Amino acid sequence: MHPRETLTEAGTPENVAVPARGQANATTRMTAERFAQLSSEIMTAMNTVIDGKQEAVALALTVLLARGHLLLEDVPGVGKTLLAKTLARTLDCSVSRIQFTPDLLPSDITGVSIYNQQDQSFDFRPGAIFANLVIGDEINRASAKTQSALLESMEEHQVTVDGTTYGLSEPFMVIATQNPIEMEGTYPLPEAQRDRFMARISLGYPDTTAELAMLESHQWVNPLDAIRPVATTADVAAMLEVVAATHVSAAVKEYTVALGGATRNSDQLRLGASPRALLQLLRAAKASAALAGRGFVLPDDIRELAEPVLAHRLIVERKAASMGVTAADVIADALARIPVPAQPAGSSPNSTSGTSSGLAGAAARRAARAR
Amino acid sequence: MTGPSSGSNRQKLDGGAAGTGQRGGIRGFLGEPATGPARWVLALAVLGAVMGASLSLRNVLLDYSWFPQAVLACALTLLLPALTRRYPRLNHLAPIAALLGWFMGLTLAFFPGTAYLGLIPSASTIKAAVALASEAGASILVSNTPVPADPGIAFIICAGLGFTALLIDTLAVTVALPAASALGIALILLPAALTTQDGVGASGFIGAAGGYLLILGCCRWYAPEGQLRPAANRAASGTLGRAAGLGAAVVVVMMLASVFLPGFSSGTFPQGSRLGSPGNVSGLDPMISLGNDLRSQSTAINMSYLTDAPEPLYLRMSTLEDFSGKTWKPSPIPAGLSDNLSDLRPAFGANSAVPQVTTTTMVSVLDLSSTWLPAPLSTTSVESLRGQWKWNPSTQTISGNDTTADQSYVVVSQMPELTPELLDAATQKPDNRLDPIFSKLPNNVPAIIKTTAEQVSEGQTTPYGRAMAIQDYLRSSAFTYSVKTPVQEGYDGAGMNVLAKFLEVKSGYCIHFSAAMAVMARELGIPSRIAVGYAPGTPNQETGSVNGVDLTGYQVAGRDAHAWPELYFEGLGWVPFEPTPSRGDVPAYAQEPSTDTSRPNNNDLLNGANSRPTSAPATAPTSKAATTPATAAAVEATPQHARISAGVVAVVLALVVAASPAFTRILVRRRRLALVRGASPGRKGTGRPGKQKDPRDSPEALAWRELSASTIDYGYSYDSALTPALQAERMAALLGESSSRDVYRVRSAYENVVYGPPGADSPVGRDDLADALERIGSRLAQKATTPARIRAVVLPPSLFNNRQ
Repeated sequence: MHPRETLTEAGTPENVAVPARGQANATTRMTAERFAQLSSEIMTAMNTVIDGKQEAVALALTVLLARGHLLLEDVPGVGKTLLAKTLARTLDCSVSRIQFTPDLLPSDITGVSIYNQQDQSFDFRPGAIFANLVIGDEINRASAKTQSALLESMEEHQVTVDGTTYGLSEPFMVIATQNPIEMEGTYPLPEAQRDRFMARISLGYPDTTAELAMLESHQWVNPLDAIRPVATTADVAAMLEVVAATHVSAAVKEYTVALGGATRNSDQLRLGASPRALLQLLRAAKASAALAGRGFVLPDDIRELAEPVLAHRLIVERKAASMGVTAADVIADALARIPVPAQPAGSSPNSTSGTSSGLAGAAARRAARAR
Repeated sequence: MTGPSSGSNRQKLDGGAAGTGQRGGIRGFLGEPATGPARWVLALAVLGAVMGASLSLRNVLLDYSWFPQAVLACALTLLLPALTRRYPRLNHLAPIAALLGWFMGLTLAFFPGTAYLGLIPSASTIKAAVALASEAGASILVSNTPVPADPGIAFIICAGLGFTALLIDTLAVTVALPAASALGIALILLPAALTTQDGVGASGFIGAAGGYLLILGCCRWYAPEGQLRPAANRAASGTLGRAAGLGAAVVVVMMLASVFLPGFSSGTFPQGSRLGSPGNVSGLDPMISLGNDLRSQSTAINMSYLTDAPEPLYLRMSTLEDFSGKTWKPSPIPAGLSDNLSDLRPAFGANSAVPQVTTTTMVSVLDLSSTWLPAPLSTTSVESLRGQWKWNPSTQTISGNDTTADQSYVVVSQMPELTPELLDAATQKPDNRLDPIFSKLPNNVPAIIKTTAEQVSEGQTTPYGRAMAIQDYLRSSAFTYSVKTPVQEGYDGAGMNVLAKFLEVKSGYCIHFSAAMAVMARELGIPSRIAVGYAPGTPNQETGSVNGVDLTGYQVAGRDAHAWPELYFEGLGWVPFEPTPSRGDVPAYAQEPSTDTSRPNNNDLLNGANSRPTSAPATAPTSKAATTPATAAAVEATPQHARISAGVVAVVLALVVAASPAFTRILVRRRRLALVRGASPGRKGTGRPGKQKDPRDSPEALAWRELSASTIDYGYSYDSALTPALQAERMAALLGESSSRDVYRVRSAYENVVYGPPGADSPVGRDDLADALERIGSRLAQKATTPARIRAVVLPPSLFNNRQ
């Protein structure tokens, strides 16, 4: 039912093999050993391409396993696109790439219905979004209208064109890059769009050793050529199941909600973390726990992921921003204040340890419970 | 940027919206306020327990006039910590708040005039408090229970109760050891148990027990594990049934145990004999307390009496006759005494041929509580007395199971009309049926006593002559009366060595004079005893009449407390003397013949008889004392004179209080380690889901708490905002490389039980956990400096930091 060829003006499909959906569901639960082996193979393969960025690589894999989308934000030339492409290469799945330009149209992304004169009917031509891994380069160069075309697909893994809804293949992940320095002719991502991205990573410059190694290895050879896929789509689907089965205790949920409440109540922030943000934080924490070989989430997972997952969604008050306060500062401040709940599972639900976070907190709690 | 600095930035920035910014800043500093009634319920529970236990003071104090002040002091002591607990981050400051509340409560209750706003103590408040406390100290030393609740005593009581409230609040809420609050409640019960005849009493016991249960229940429901929770726990179904069953079992066991175990009927607790033997003028050594009474120069009127005797009377209460040991003691009260006070006769009284004078005296006791009845010598009947009183014919004393408080009674006494001639004629040897206790002397009487007695009485042939010689010697100008010298020179009391010292220094008060005369008389073969009671008081304006005879009124104050010797003369019975210079009045027969006529007013004072000259022939005494002397039957209870100075009690209490944190910490640690080791590691499948359901008490969580507590004791600062992994990292840094594995074990087990899926198997065995904890404990002690070690043991910070 999914068309094989997908060509848009800006999209270049690099891999056209799209396996049928639901194939992974048939397999039984993957063992912890197999999960650990696969994840370490993926990371090893990626690390051979990207030197000295183990954290960024691990985070990218975490976001993939948490069924989220990744926003890479950094100056040009530090390997944003390379990271995205490497992740795509290590997985044996379909990849499409969209170079965002100001004249890119929404239909270029989602697809378009074209009148077929033979059949006297409209045929749907899928856009670049119909792939397992979508790399959106310089996403902030497209107009807000085009960016919004991503909203539905990213959140609901589906596309609606002309009233018809088309499902996207699983796994589905958007890796977008943007350049924060160059402001001319860019359209900053709206809050709603940023909220769709699970995590934002700034790669930063490599350290001296890594840079030397990079200069050595990347001179004439494209390191990507040496990458062979280590995991199939079915493997990734099985890994997703392992992540979904990771246990989250009431204490960790409380901690997450308290963190969200702290960002909402903070006087230095104009916009705090949304319930979706907390949901994604918890999902990312589950993936991180699974990658660490644990069957349950620790508050440490929440702590480590809080900045990459939350920082890009928060808006700092103008006064505080003028004092040099950043969203990361606010998060670190909140983490230093919120007591880590030590109430083990099964304790009274009344004891929310006094960190009431108002109506919004209750909503977040409800959302967290509803999943 | 760190929290505080960004907070201050925010404060500056807010400007216009100062209100919200301020609140945000305070909230950021103090944490989220606690909700729910828990802290108030706990404060009320502690108040109820303290006030309930204070009902035991019913017998210690005369009335309940102190009660409102005590409620006020305790309520303020508990109010401030309850306010503090609104902010969980201030929890560890609650004891300090309680201390401030204690000061303020006492100030408000007692010295509102001297304080700022009636609450905040000023320098003059402290001065007034010290004055009041020393006044109370003096009255504690000189009074017997029940004492009147004068301001000093009430102040001490309220201060004690307030401090106990502080202690219980700290133990039950701050330290989260509600069971240890029994310590505080027991402190309240101590005064009644130690100083009164009736002990704690039913109301006090019920109040204390009820209050204790109240604390235990409220702490369990509202603050399990020391964390206040917004709403009470529901009691699990079946709790009431289990509690009732357990309570019934305990009652049955205690009833059976009391039959077989000693101490329930004769011990100090709960209703047995008191430390002070029953039957003394005071709970303490009668000699010492007499001295205290004299030194206090108390002008409080103890009693008043109306008598038809022309001169005021000596009122006897008890006697001291047992000098077999080191000091003068009362002899045990024989069993089987009659409580009929109508026709009283002494065991060895005066010959019936001796003319006798009958005296009627109406005594009203105002402010004296004793189990000995003040009465003149040779009482023949006592009327309109409340309670059961028994006549001891051997010592001619009346003791009862009630006290003399507020009694009013009529005493009729018959004294022989004694003259020097009559006494001089009494030369017969004492009746050999006379109790040997009256003439017994220990073997090691200091030589100075015997030599002095012999020197003084040289040339005297009759017992009377010798007695007069001794009295004259003691009344001579060589001796001076002083209540202070013996205390300063350190020979207070009536022991043998004291007497030797007294004869050297030649200064003392009635105890020393009377004891010296009694011992010297025994050395010369005259049976003797020391009467303890009151010297004649001062006349008051009251008059009355009984059967047409006019009565004259006198009042007796605390400073009139007195002791004097009584010597036995065969045929005449017991005859009082007055060897103490400047005290009391010398009876006529005991005066020098030359002065006899010159001071007619003092005649026969002791007897209460008219001083008309008599020509009664000195008939040969026929020993008519046929009435059976109370045969010394089974001794009821050997009175012991536990001289417990308040200082020793205070030091012991201070030590107990000082050591309680250390003991508490040790107990907590031992309990946790025992629980971690547990009985059966395979408990999970034993079909006790109720036990397993509460993972707060799981061995892993206990092990983690113990690890935190022991590192906190040695200076680790616990930050509740850090995850267990980060905490463990910092603890391991404190402990050093060698212990990081043990810390990791405890941490991973804890993480597994707190954050892992329920029912998962722990990666670490329980014994391994306990072993790791013990290794960590010894490693901590080994690494720490000596001051840090001492602090960790004596004042463990983990007890005062509840945020683990």
